[in-house]
Amino acid sequence: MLTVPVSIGPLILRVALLAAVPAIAGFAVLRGFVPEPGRAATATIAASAVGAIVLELMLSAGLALPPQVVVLLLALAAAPLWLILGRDERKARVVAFGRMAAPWIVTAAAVTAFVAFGRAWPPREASESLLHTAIVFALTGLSWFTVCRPTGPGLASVALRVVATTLALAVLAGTAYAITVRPLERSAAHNGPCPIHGNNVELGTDPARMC
Amino acid sequence: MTAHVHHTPTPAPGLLSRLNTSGHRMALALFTFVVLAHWAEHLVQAFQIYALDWPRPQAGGVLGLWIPWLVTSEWLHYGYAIVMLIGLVLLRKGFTGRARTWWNIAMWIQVWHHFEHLLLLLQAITKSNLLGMPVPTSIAQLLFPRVELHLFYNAIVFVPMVVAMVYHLRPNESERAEMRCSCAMATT
Repeated sequence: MLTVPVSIGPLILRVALLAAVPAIAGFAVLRGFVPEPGRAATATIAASAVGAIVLELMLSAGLALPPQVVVLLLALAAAPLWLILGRDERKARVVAFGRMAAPWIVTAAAVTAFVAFGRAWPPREASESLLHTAIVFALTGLSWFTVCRPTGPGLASVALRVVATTLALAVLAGTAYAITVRPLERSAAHNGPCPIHGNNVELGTDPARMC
Repeated sequence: MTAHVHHTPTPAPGLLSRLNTSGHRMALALFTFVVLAHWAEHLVQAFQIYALDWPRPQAGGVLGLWIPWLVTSEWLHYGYAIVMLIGLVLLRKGFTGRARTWWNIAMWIQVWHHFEHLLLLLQAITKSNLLGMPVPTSIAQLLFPRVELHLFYNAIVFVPMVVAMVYHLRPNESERAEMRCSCAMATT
């Protein structure tokens, strides 16, 4: 039986993640050099960031965070989408507050992400969950960057762009690393022929059926 | 001299239009039956766990006793969630005023419930469970157990649906004036 050490399901998720992350990172890097994007573009990027976080959660074996915090982090990452799409006048004050708080949330998420990236280095057994945690924080920060308005040559505006650009490049590199040094090799190693009733039975690459 | 008047035939109303006018009553009755049947299954499942003290994997409701594999299929759960969402969207236009507001609330909660089931289905298909869990796990399942969570989801979709239907059956004057279906009870 011919088997290849690739599971189609996780592969599709990885391809989707590899499509989403460069788009999100590209938005953050290029934002200072192109005209201010419209509502549809920013909403697409914010939605992509939330989608990328969900893909990260599906591809990771766990984060260095309690599950309750993961739910809160997802809600935090999804909030910019609500702020961008909210047209209701009654929500105007909440939207204005969200936009005002956005640069601080980007900065806080960036600091947390960089600390987690730092702790994940050098690569060891505990690095995997730290790396995925860093990516999730970085994507949350980039999701909030969509509602920031870093216009003008002011120092704060330039600093925010620098933070977002650095975060974007870090998430791009981190994601590429996380999905190439993936647990697939482990599953493939486990998924060799399994002795069942004295016969070697090929179980494919389904991690749920590891012997 | 004779005048020729050309009458353009009125196009027959489409399915969506009929569902929200002449067929609204029947469509709502059918939809309510489906929703109630599904909710009854969740209640039976809760009864099996809490009253009969069955182990959770064995508590599959009535359908689970008959076709156990079907109840464990994420396709079945997703199928129901999407049918429910389609029903809420398709029948929405027939509601007016307060009834529309409550129906919208039910619809938006179902949108989230549907996302949760979509995530569960994706995990089952790709065999990549959230955070490396042993079984497909939705986001809110990180906080609450599955049986109770989905019983709760179905309850919080069903309650605003019922409120919407009550307002729809007993509309005020302005709501009645906007209605294009025959669902409203006659005024006395």
